[in-house]
Amino acid sequence: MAEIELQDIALGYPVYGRASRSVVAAAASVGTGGIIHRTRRRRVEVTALDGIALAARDGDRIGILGPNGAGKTTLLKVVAGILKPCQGRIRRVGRTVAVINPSVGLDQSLSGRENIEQIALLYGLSRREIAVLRPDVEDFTELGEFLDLPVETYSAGMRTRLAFGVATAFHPEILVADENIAAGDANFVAKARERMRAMMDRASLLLLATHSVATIKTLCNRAILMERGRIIADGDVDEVVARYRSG
Amino acid sequence: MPKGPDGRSRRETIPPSPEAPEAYEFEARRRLSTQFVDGLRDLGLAAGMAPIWLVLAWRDFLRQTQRTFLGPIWSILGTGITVAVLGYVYGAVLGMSGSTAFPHIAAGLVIWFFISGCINGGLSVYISARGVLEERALPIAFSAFRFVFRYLIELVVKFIVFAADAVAVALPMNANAFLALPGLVILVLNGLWVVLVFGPLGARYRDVSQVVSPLMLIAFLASPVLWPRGMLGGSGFIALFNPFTHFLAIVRDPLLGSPPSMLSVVVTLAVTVGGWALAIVCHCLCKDRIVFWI
Repeated sequence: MAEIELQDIALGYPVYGRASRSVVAAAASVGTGGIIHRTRRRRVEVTALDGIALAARDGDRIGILGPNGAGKTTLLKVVAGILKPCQGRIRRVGRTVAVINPSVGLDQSLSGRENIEQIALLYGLSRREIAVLRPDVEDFTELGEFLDLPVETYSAGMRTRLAFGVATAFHPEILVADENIAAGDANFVAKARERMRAMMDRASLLLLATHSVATIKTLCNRAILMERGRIIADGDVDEVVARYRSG
Repeated sequence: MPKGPDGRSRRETIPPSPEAPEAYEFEARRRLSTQFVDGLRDLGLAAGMAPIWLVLAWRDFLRQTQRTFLGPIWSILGTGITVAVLGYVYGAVLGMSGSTAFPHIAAGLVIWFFISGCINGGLSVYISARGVLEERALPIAFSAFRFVFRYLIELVVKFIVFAADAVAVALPMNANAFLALPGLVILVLNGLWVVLVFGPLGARYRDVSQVVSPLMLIAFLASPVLWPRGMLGGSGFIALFNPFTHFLAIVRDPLLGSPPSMLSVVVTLAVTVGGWALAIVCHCLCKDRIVFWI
């Protein structure tokens, strides 16, 4: 039984340092990004989410569309529990895994194998479970002997392979994912899509941020359109996609 | 093996991880009491993950000397050289015999490395844990515990230098030495609260660490790390107002053969209680904002 409920969520990123003095307050009407404004305490803040309400149940496969800076990733992080909103309530039931920017969690000085182990440890897996998990990830990444070298010797694409391979090895009930991470050569992208799809098939509730209309059409049964931190459309995939395209 | 919906067998489902409990609830603008319960729960969950952060702390320790030929032996060697040089110089300057100077300075330095590591490093603990904090919904205190225990591992490894010195000068040790263990527990408890307080502070106000590092050098020279308190002569009581004096004493005095003074025990316990109260307040109020500060 998986469930997500968000009520009236708002979240602002505070901006510290030089930018906070030079940024003009309410530098409004650009199409991208959240809304920049000054709080009552004269701090600069970027509003990333505003008045978000969302209810999702078992079987919902929700695709989130929207231009850059619309708040898609922030919304995912709030659902995952990584970011705490400054307004509103969240309730989430079900084992959750978030795949947002897995390369951030890689440790440059450790080898590929050690990284796999370390990430799995952080997920609370026992040594025995890690032993089960490892061959699967190693196969997927196709990194071969590179797995014994430190990650700092990897190319950007190889890092993506490794990070993505570990992050998608779990079987959660709720999957919160940013699909825009699967970048690499054509062969890998196809493989990554397939793996992500397999993971999504097993999850009973999916929340997927993407720029790909094709992905949403094949994977999701519900779509959300975000713009400047708000949900402006929610419902049938075809209708929301049409609205997204009309811009 | 459980069967998937398509009839093919699939791998066993990975069990729930401690960071992702079945249910997650959060409400912004909560009452203070809720915030405190939440903060304490974070500390509890983090403590429950001890088997994980202990492994990671051990790896963090090994990583410092990664790609070196001697590996963690450097940690011992570096301390050994420092003790040899400072022991020689300060022993001569202060007119101490080698057999008192070396064990005194070795124990003092090993303890001081832990203290200053927790204070200086604590300020950047969350900044360096950025990768984990921005990608995973782990308890916030997890990174703090992992950090302190890395320094504890270092302390234990460096302790070999003291042990070697003690053997070399045939230091007459007695059963009092075991009192160093409760002293060490108090020291670690204090390391934890220091990191829990300084972590958010250093993440939010980046100037703090610039102020603290030079102060720590002053504290090092002004505390009886290298010199014995008795050397201050008639004004030795002034050192008693320095809390570092007592933290050094509760671990070092037993190692050198005498039980720590009642005053040291009382002061360090009081600081532990006060510090933890501060740490709990700090953690409960700041933990949800730390991710925005790093």
